[in-house]
Amino acid sequence: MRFHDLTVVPVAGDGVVAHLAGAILVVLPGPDQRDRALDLVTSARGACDAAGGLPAADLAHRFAEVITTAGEGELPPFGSLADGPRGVVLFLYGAIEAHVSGATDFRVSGDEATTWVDRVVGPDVERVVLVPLGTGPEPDANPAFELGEGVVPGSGVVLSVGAEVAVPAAPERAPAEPPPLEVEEPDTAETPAAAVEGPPPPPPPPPGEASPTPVVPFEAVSLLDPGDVEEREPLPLAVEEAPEPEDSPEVAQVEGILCSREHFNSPDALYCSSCGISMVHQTHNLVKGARPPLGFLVFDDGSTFTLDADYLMGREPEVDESAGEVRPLLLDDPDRTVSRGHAELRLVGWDVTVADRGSANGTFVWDESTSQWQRLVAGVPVPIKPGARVALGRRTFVYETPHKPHGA
Amino acid sequence: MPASRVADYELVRSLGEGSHGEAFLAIPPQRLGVDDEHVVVKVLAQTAAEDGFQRVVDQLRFVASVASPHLARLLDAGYQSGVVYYATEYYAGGSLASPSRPLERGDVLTCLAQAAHAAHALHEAGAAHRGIKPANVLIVGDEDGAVNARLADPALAPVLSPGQTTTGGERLGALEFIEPGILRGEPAGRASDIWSLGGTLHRTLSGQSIYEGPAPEDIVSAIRSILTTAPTVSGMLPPGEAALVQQCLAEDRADRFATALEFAERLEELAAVT
Ligand SMILES: Nc1ncnc2c1ncn2[C@@H]1O[C@H](COP(=O)(O)OP(=O)(O)OP(=O)(O)O)[C@@H](O)[C@H]1O
Ligand SMILES: [Mg+2]
Ligand SMILES: [Zn+2]
Repeated sequence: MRFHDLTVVPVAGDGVVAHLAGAILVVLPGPDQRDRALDLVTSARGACDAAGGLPAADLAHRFAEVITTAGEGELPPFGSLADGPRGVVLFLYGAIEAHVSGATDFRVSGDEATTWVDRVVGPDVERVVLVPLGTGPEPDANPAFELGEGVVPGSGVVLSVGAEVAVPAAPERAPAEPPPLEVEEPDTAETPAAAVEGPPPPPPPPPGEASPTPVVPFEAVSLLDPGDVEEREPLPLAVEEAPEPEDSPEVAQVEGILCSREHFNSPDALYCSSCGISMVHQTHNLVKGARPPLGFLVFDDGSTFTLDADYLMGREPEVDESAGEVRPLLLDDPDRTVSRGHAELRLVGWDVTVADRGSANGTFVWDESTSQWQRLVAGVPVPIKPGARVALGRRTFVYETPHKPHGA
Repeated sequence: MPASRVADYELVRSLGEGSHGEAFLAIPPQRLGVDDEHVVVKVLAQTAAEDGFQRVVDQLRFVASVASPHLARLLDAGYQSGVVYYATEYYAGGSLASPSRPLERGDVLTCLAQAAHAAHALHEAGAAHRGIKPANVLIVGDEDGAVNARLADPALAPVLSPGQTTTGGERLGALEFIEPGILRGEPAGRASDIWSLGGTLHRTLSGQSIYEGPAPEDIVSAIRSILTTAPTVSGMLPPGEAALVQQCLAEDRADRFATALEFAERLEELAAVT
């Protein structure tokens, strides 16, 4: 959902609806009356002016923050939302519900969490309805009463998006030169504080306040009474055949050779990948079998991933349409040199292939023979060799496999 | 400088960084309804989208539903601006990696047997722990004499990011507790946790790694070396313990103890003949 071409239709009622600088705020009357709601919106508006130019998503959080720190008295139910870089940010407190429709339809309400609900939904959202709890997805709202910017009476909104407006993604760093030639040192210095996105936290509340209010909105789920939990089967004993993992589609069948102890191996194997015995004197009769994991990837930050499925790698791989059939592999990249859906890795027979997905900075494979990074042509899968080094923007990984000799 | 707050927890001090993030001693919010003065908030280093947080919640609720007196008590899970955290009870006795008072050999065996009972409860309920190591076997503070352990921090990296086997947050030393099969891509199960229990016993009693020689300096060589080097049991271990470790570390999964319970019972027998 891009909040261009957006229609905001208020739902009549006793609360207050505001549309300010791309962020929407709905405060319901609550235990006090509309004055209280209006006061809150006025302070939120002050925050909006003070914040001048803050991205809408941060502004929506800021509204929530202003209201939750507003001091005495029970808070009225309220909701705020805006478009953000990862999708629509939605913040709900108390007896208010949101109906989201688009790529997926769902309902979420402020009373689901002990504190509040703070979510990123979307990105393919077409319509959001924000109304008092129990109203349902089709409130009485006349599209003739459309709200531009401003503050009006009302107890909800219906937001709809017209034709999707393509918005260029955040600027990606231009590839000044091919990526660094050395695998970078593991980067473990990130502190949790640095990882927090969103508006800078306001100063802590003055000491001595009865119950200090949290500064950045959050969602919490108690684990003290886990309630109904989906039952699972006990794990199999090692001597039993492990059952096939349920959620992965049935394992691909490939042709391979058996070592003298009947371990299934790649036809290229010089040594058995399970027991290490030499394969040279084996008769190379091809047999069919379930494909074992093809090795693993080791990233520059030391994280490793098993090659038992295809992966889509990127800064926000979930947003990609094909994410349903492949595993998303999210690459943290503060410099944004990695595109949202950057490259795809597929298992084909005993080979691993990499394809660039039209990323801004390209996908490169290190070529030993020329000592240069080779840029992949977008959309063309290329098999990579054991030990191969691959760069996606600033991030790099090495492909390791026990199934083939290095250089094969 | 860490933030002074995570969600509505007031952070007191950092307890250290681990594979998944950083652990903080914290003052719990009233909404939890616990009367503990302090709890531990674990802030994950890996940021997550909403669906990742939901998977973590499902996994933690599942672990919280497993009845075992020796699983660390989970209190709360939360999500703030893309950062996932969870809270557990605080155990003042330290961990097998750095106990707050020196432990006798018998104490170590008892703690590890209790951790193995907890792992067994998880296995019977249908989950592998995947993160068993000395720093995750916590010790309940002063209970006149008898030690009492809690197994904490089941691995969440594979839950957050399907297919992930190590987070990169492990200092290289922590790799010694990961079963090589997991690195090769085999599914985690009872046998891989039993392997980690053996590695934990070995490290705690001998102070040495099961891999001899100097540790490689980068992760790629460390993993390569783990995949090509057979573990060795230190000569410093008494024969009874050495035999147990050996069986946990058997290369073929079928040659290890069939269940963590069996391993726990053998440890208890050993502890009894001290
Ligand atoms: N609930 C707790 N009570 C007491 N000490 C704890 C608790 N949780 C963690 N600690 C200690 O805090 C330190 C950091 O813990 P942390 O869990 O972040 O790292 P780790 O255990 O090494 O790795 P992992 O991420 O795999 O759990 C460790 O020394 C650990 O023993
Ligand atoms: Mg831990
Ligand atoms: Zn073999």
